[in-house]
Amino acid sequence: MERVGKLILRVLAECLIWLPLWLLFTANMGLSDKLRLGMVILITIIAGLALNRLPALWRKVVVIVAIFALVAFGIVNYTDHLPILIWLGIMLWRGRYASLGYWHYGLGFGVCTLGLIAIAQNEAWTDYRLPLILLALAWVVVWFVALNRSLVQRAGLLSGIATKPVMRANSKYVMIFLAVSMLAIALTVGYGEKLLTPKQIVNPNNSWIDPERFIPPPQDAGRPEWLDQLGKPKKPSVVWDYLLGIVIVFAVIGLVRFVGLLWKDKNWTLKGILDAIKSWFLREKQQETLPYIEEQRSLRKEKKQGGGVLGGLLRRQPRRMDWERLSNPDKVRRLYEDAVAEGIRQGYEFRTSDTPSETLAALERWQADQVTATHKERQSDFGNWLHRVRNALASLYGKARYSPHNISSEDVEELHSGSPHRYK
Amino acid sequence: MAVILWIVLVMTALYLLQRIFFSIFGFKALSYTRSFSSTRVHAGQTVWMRETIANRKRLPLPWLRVESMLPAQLVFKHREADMSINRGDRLQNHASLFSIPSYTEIVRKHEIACPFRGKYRVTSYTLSMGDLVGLSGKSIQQQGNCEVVVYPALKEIREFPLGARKYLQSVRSMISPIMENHHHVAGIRPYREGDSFRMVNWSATAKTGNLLVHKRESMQDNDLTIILNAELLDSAHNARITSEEFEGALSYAASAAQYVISGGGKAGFIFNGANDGAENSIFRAPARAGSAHMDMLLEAMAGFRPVTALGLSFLLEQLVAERTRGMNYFLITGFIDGKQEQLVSKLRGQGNTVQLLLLGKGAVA
Repeated sequence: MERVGKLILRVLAECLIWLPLWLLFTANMGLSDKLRLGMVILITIIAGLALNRLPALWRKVVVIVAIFALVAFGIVNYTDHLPILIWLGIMLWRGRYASLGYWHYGLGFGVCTLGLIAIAQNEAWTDYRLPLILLALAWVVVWFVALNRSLVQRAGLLSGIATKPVMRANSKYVMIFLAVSMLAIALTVGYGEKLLTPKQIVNPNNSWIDPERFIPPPQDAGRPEWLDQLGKPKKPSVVWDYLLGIVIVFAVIGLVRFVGLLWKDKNWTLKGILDAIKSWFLREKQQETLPYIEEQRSLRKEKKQGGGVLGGLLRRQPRRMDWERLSNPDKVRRLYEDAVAEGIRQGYEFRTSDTPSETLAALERWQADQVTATHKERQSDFGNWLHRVRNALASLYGKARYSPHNISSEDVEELHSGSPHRYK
Repeated sequence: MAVILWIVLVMTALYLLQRIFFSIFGFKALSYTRSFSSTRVHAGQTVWMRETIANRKRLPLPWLRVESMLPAQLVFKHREADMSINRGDRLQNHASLFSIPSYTEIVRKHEIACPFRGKYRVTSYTLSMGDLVGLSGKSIQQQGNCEVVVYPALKEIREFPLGARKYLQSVRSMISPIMENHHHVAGIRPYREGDSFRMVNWSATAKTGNLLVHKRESMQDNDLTIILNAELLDSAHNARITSEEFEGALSYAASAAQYVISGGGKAGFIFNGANDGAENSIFRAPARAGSAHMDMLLEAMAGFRPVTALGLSFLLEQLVAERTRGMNYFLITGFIDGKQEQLVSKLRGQGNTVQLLLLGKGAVA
């Protein structure tokens, strides 16, 4: 069933590739003719793909004979429609590509571009301009994605190590590239057009651009005789009729034989087809079997929060509560935290294993040893205060953390007085 | 026309810009390491090769290919499932393709079978990167030091030929409570059936969780010295053993040493072939006990090659000249000639025991 789905997509893609040509060829036709040509195209595409069931040599022979037959048929009977018949031959030949590569999508873009050029020459086709532009853009996107898939397959040394997640991720990146490119183009195309269009400066004093002087007006040469001969209808050679008859007979025999082969190999019934369609709609997403185990984890948590220049600029400092709004135990905690933070700022190495009283004792010792000339004044202020309140701070901090009893405001004020951090 | 030209110009400029960007920043904050789940395995065991790639930056990498040359003796168990492994005789090219989002670590584990003994090392990797469009970009080579040592396969004692099995069992059974008759305690050993509970070392048992007993000095020599012959060809009798049979011999030697040491005994080793440490001198390890000694023997065996450094006859002459007595020699060889048999008899005459284990056709004879 998956094969049938792929085949249908392949036929649709082929139809879309040639849509601009169909639109242009049928611009002057009635609806019934348009539909008839559409059906012929569809049958040709399907026939081209069905030929792949034949052995390679047979397929080549059938395609060559069919193309010759179409061309001969066009030359003999439908000279006006010869391009359409050649086009049908090309579509039949393209049936050899069971799946489409990126260059096929490039062909789709090329056909659209040709269609747009043709539209520019003929005002009657102006209605098709916008759909063809959109189709061309779609082909560009599809072409990029297909090219990307092909490049990733090549990156995987064409040995199947490019797994589905890798392919999907790469398609996503190429789409981002395309989106950015299109945005940039949309924003700058006006400027670009102005920049790249050559300025037309006409200087009337320049004699060399005067057509009157250098380009003589055309002279009437009269109607040539050979032109009259062309208008007269000529009777086609009988040999062509015989040749056409032979080719048609061979083509019919080949077609009958081909249909016979298809009928002989049939292994489908109506119920089978319905079941297959049902199972295709109900199919579960197939898990890709990988020859290895893969685990993936995010490293964002390891990333330093607010790191980098931008992060530093945008980072907000946590707002601390005003001193007056704190409860007495919280005030003691604030004093302890600030004392330790000040020590760390000055270079004290904080040990998480120490208790608060051990920390304060170690900090006091360290402070006494580390008084330097440059920060002497500030360090001595902090050192004196710490030396004075160390025991009281350790005891009150323990009380603030673990005791259910409240701490008096006098005790807090006693600690606070002389602190290098005077809170208001 | 100007519009088309502008579109082409803008797309080319953007393409080049992103390409330059990727070539400058692509490999920044990117780390790749490769390691084996176990660096020491026995032949026939499997090991997991772990590839860890971490992208610690905002820029994602659309695709990154890591290629390396691995020894061909390491066999990927799932290589049939679309792995890019091109095997040669000595080396195989292995490639992995990743797509790494920003701030992501990917760990990929491959199961590898190690059917052959040896020391295998991967020393470098090539990292290639693709850009947004998918085209191949910058490549760098990175040094690595990822090693797996494959010891010889171990055999069960029942897989030894009858004579060799009886001999090994008799050597191991020399360490028995009856024979441990010295008053000095030499160390500890695992509890064996028949040991008295008075001999249990309770402290060691509590620490390790295994029942351990005091090992007493024995008046009886219970050392086993394994002699492995490196010669594959006996030109005198036009006899030959294959390298697979040599691997079998190594396997017998390793299993014999393991059997004796695991029973609390001591094992020594003599190999007259080339090894990793020395090409032209024989490998000789004195008889010692303990798992550390066993590991040392296995490590050395992983590097043994069947290239003769000293003929077996000369080696046996050396042993006879040393006039040792009370030793137990376990000689593993593909063939033995008349002179060597005489030398073996002389060794026996000096008060040693010698057991032969003949490989290949010699084993049948």
